[in-house]
Amino acid sequence: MSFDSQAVLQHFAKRVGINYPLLSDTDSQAIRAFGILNDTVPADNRNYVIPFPGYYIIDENGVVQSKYFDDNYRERFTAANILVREFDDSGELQGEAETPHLRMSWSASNREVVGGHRIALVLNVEMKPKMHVYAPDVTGYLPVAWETSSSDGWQDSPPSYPESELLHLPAIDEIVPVYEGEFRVVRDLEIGLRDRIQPLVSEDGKISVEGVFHYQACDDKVCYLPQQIPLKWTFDFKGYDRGRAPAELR
Amino acid sequence: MAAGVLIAWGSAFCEPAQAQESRVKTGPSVGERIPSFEAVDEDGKTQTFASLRGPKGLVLLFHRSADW
Repeated sequence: MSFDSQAVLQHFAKRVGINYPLLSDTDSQAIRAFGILNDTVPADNRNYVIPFPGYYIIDENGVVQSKYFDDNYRERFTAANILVREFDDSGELQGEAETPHLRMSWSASNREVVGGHRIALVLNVEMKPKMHVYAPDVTGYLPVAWETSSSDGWQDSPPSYPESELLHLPAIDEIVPVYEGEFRVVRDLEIGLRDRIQPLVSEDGKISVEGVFHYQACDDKVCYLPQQIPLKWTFDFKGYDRGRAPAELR
Repeated sequence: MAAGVLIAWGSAFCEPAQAQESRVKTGPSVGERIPSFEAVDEDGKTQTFASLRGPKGLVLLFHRSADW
């Protein structure tokens, strides 16, 4: 939904290949009804029609289940990020590793990125039988940790870990928060705007983000040495889409 | 800052100052019902929540424009 005319939306849908309805709200009636008119724009400005951009996930009865709005309109959740967050999609595989304790893979919601994209990075971990690792809220043990390389070109959010299980260790009669079986960790990566990200783009148009997954695994008898698994994501960097509708449609 | 904002808005379609980010309005809260709305789609068909929703509901995206 935007304030664009039907003709502009029709042109855009054809040019980009969109197969879901694009809604034209030329007088911003729906935008106002939702209460999201961008009133930081002066009322006499021609842009006093635009919404604060964001997504609503709405159930069949019209009740908002979740929503995604950014503080700065130049930074946007990608649609693929919403699929990761809402529908357990893991995006595109970027790498895999196996150790004596676990198998893991890392992926990302998007392979192509643009400055301002807010994408999701995903770790899928599968513990081997009887193995566990410690959840971030553990005390007295080494918890799992996921670091990504810091850079001026992007910014990452803290990882979202799943709920842990409470494991009773009979030998020492302790209850500790752990992960067993399969678990998934997601975090956002916000690609910087053009001036920040451009210096980090390689000659062949790629951006690489590196990281490390730290863990210490134990089974019912033994705690093994702490491990580090190197992670790497590579993205194709795309320029902004500068295409527009023909002047007579605008 | 006010002058900076005015200058920024003086040139066509450009960037509001970062300082305004706390003024973002996000509409109905999680758990609230959306307001009723009606809008034409790119083919000229009038759409409402009832005509757009699937068995599980609807993803509704508001964006600034498809043409700038």
